[in-house]
Amino acid sequence: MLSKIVGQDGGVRCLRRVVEGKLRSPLLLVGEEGVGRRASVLAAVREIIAQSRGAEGSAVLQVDRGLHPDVFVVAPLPDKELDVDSIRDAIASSNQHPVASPFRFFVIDGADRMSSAAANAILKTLEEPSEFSRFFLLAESYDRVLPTIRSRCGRVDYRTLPESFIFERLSKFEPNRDKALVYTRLGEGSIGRATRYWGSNRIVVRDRSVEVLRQAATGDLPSAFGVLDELSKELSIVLRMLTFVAHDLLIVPLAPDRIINVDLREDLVELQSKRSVTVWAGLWEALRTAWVRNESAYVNLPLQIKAALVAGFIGG
Amino acid sequence: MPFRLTAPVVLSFGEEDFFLDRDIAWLRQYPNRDIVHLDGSDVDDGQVVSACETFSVDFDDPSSTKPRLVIVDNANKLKVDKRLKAYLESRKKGDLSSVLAAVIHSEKLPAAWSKIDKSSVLVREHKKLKTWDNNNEVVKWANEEATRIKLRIEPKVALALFQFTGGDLYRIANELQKLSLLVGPGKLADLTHVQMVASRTAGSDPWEVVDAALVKDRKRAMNSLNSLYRFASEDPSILLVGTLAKGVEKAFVARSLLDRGCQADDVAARLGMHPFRYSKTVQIQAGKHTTKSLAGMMQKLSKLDVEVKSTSHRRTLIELAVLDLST
Repeated sequence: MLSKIVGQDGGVRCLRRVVEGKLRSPLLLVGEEGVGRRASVLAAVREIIAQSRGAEGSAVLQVDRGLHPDVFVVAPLPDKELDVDSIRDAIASSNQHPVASPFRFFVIDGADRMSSAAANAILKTLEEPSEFSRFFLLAESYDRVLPTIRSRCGRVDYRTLPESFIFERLSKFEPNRDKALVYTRLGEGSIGRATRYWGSNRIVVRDRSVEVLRQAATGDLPSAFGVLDELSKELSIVLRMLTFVAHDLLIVPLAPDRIINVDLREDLVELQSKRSVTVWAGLWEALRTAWVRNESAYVNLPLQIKAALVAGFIGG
Repeated sequence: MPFRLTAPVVLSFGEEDFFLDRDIAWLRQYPNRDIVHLDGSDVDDGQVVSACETFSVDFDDPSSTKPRLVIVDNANKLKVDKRLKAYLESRKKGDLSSVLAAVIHSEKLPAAWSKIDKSSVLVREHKKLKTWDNNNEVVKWANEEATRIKLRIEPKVALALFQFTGGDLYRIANELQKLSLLVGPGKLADLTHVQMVASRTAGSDPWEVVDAALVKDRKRAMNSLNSLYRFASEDPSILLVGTLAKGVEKAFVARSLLDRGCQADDVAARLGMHPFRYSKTVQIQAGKHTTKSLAGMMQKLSKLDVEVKSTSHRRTLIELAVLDLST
């Protein structure tokens, strides 16, 4: 239920108005992945269904299991666009009467990753949604959503979650407090991302990324490139990890408690001493640039990361 | 006649598709054989064995049957399972009642095929012709091909054809046929004739551009780049950036290792290259640059990688990058 959603007061308040029937226009929920956007929408949907006349307890269970006939969740595959066919299916369903609840609910996750055809296909429906449909669009970046879609939706911002909240939750699964704190900070305010990293043991990739920096710091860039080639299938994560570690190397002498990789504090202090602050600052900036490029376009990631290492350690 | 069927299994393999295709063309015309042509990517081993074991009956003369010749193109894509293994093992040296010709597009024979008893196999290996060596094998082959079609050519004609076509054997064979038609049988073809018939469609290989740029041969780099844009079937800009990045990275790694006192063989091993190939390519490229200059180039390429995906002036950007690298 909505009351169980923590740390997203603005979003909950807005969805509460939807539950009360005071807000009917499509909503665009903007925030990092894993901060509770989909969970809060589904909580609101469950409340609406539970309140409806003749509703059975099993209907709410169906929502939880993704089996309710009036709840449609559309999401793109990882690293893919949301295609037009999925959107057309949703549009076709939105014109039909609900079967077992007062409305048909459409949760479109990845509104900022729609193909242009998909985005254009849904415009008309968002402008004049049928009386029986409710649309919730989820996006990580407001700027990447088509302006014509933005103008047809009410914007609801989701904040990143407090570190203490994520840490508390993760500590229930991860007995090692240092590791729990590392995953919390790697999540950057997203409990979804933090638990995903924890579940897939991303700390191994982080350790290999530190190895890359250690070799590069001793001037052995060919070996660093070799390790990167071995990690070729996970370069997107590697770039994140490298950027986090470079950030830690910058601040570890000044604020050792604020670093992300708290379990490597001593190793990082030793690594930091091998090069000047100017080098680490240059490296962090180069890695940030590569990160931004990777976020905004499809780039040659091996080239971007290697060029960033070269820029940091050799200059150009 | 390039070869006679002297064994129940013929294995034609190698990287030079031209010669493999020529073997297939010749086998398809083999006299007095009932010929079946299969593609290894479309059939399984059971179908191949069935084709080998079946005999066609001539309805005009049911008492006589022709021996079969089953040609399996792309045999490297065929999964050799129990049935085919058993069939191949059962074939005896002199039994030519049914011949299986497997055409394998691969540098080495796959294990399943290489295990067949040598006495019952005719192996035809077609290695990739070397062009980077002083003894250009493509030029040598062009001379032999001219002799085969009874065309006399001046010594420089073969080299000119190689330069015009970029070493594409299909195109060289085609140009020789055209020359033969132009000058007539037994007559001498010279460079003037080549200029009359041959179309200048030099190699459209991005590595050619990268190599020329890295050895600072600006003229060759720009000519290769021009050919690439002129003859590539689709815009090669993004592919070129990727190839340039790989080339520069290799040169950077080689330069860094050489600066640290590594021997050439060790550097070649680190790059996963044969020492001879390394000495003819990357070593020369690395010798023309410093670590610092290559580091700068990697950064420029990382920026170019983003720019080529968001501009309509891709070619200009690439040309500037190639000029920069080759200067």
